[in-house]
Amino acid sequence: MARILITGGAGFIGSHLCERFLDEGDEVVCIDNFITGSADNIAHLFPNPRFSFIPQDVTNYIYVKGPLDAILHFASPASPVDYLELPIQTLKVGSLGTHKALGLAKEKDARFLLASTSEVYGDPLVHPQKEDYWGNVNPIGPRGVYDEAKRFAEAMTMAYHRAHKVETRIVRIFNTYGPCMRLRDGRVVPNFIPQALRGEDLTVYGDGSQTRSFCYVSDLVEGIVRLLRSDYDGPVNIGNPRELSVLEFARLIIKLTESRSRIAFKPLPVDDPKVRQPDITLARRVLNNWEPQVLLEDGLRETIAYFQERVSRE
Amino acid sequence: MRILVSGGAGFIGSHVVETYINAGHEVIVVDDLSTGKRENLHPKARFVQADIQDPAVRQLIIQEKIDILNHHAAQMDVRRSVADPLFDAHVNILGMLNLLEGAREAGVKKVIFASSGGTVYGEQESFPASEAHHTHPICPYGVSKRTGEHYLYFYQTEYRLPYIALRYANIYGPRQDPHGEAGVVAIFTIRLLSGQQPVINGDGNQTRDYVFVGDVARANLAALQVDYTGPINIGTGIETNVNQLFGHLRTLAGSSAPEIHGPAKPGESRRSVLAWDRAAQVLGWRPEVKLEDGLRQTVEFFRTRIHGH
Repeated sequence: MARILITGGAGFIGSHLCERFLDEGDEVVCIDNFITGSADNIAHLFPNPRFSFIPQDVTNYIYVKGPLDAILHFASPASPVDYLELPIQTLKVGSLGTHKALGLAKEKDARFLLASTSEVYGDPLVHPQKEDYWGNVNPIGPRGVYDEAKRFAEAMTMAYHRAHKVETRIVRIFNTYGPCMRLRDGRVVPNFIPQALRGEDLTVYGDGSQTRSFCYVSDLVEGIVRLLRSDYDGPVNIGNPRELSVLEFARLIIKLTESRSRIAFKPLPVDDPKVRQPDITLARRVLNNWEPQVLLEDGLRETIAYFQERVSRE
Repeated sequence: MRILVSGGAGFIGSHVVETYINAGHEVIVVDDLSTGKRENLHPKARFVQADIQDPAVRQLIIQEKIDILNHHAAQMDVRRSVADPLFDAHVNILGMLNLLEGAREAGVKKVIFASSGGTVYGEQESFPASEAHHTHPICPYGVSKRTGEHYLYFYQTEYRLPYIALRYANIYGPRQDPHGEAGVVAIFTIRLLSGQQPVINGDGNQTRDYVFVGDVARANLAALQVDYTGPINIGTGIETNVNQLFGHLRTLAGSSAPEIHGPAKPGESRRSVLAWDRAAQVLGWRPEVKLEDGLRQTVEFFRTRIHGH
């Protein structure tokens, strides 16, 4: 049994991680300030005596009683809608928050895992993206707050690794979807599914030819758990290489929800990446043949069921 | 007695199991752990991890010579029942029928069923509702619970299988599940203890009858002893609206969060409160834990898991 701290544990991916480690018999300490995370995502975990919660902003000094075996740093606004609204908080949690979490890892002699992102590749000039690609990011653009915060967080993580010998792992997370995403978080899945369920037009930005690849959250969580337990300390892409144009994706969701919605086109936002597809050769090699298992159609059905409930609550 | 408690790893079921074991009964818990928790399992109860729709559970009831079937396993999320009525019916109707078939074949002495006074009456017309109140449930969960009662009536008539359907009000307490009928208690408490603002749906004047889980467990114990067949309300007869509930929890959590209202949720009944005269008469039961005391225990439970604020 390990004792694991998850920052951002009440968020979309963080709450799935809390659940996974509790299921494995570990003890989980969750930290969240509920800026974008929600009590609703973790309320069901409280009856478990191995779960505890610290309501806190991780950019402030983090005090945790007792030993820790691992720290997973997942706190950050992570959708464009959120980080455009919270630009300074986004930069702070990526920089100060990562620093504080690394300091705690050093103090507790805990392994540190950073939730990084495919956004470190920016609007990529190579396709698909391998871990050794350095990216094409506009540092002063509106999306730069997230991209640069995560790039800084990676640099800080490697610095602690080199200077303080902290055991570190970096996962570069590509687009992920699944239950516990928020309605209106601005990403493609939580935009399209509720629109389709309500019979509204699905909003496609640009001509819809930009591509995305979507990984189901349980596949991501499995990859993260394997990475944490591996001995590989460089960044590793985790995502699903199956690439779809946003337009194809909109049509698939309309089909699966049996909706009569149509598609409405709107102008493309600034610095929206045109292509995004993970090269997961490295993940396969170092993570014991890790491979996405959940078919897009199956994952979407689960996610649609979740949003159905959310939409009916409105 | 040998008692099989389905859903014995859940919030209410685990409190029932504890009460039975403390009274010296032998308990077998059947739970698929889909919402129940391994941590809730009583060390002295035998545990079988299984879905109540599994034919093996029917066999288990027969082979183990069960005296009493106490049926708490359920899909218990009202909103999920609206979003996915098929799933609700599979678990709550077909799953229950599977158990009843086993109970019939095994010659079980009695079935105690966790029904739902909060939903089987639908939009209430008289307050508090007695067991004679009309039953026009307005959510699939209420329909499936009421259907369970109909089947019990059938088994009793056809096979002389006695039953008690405990029609619960909104149950709250330690180990509270956020998806149950009193889930608002868990959500408000976590938010208040975390310094996050809770939001009250609508004007907050919608009322519920909040009954403490320990009182409910006692009703299950009393139900073992009595010679009675039919539905019995388990509630307090006291209506509490959401604003009052929020006020209690705010005080207990030591918070100064303002009362904030959001949009109303459609399909929520306005008022719900149950008369417990029959429970008093038949079971010798009365609600003992005052709302403030029960909420205090609940807030303290959550407080042990929330640190550093």
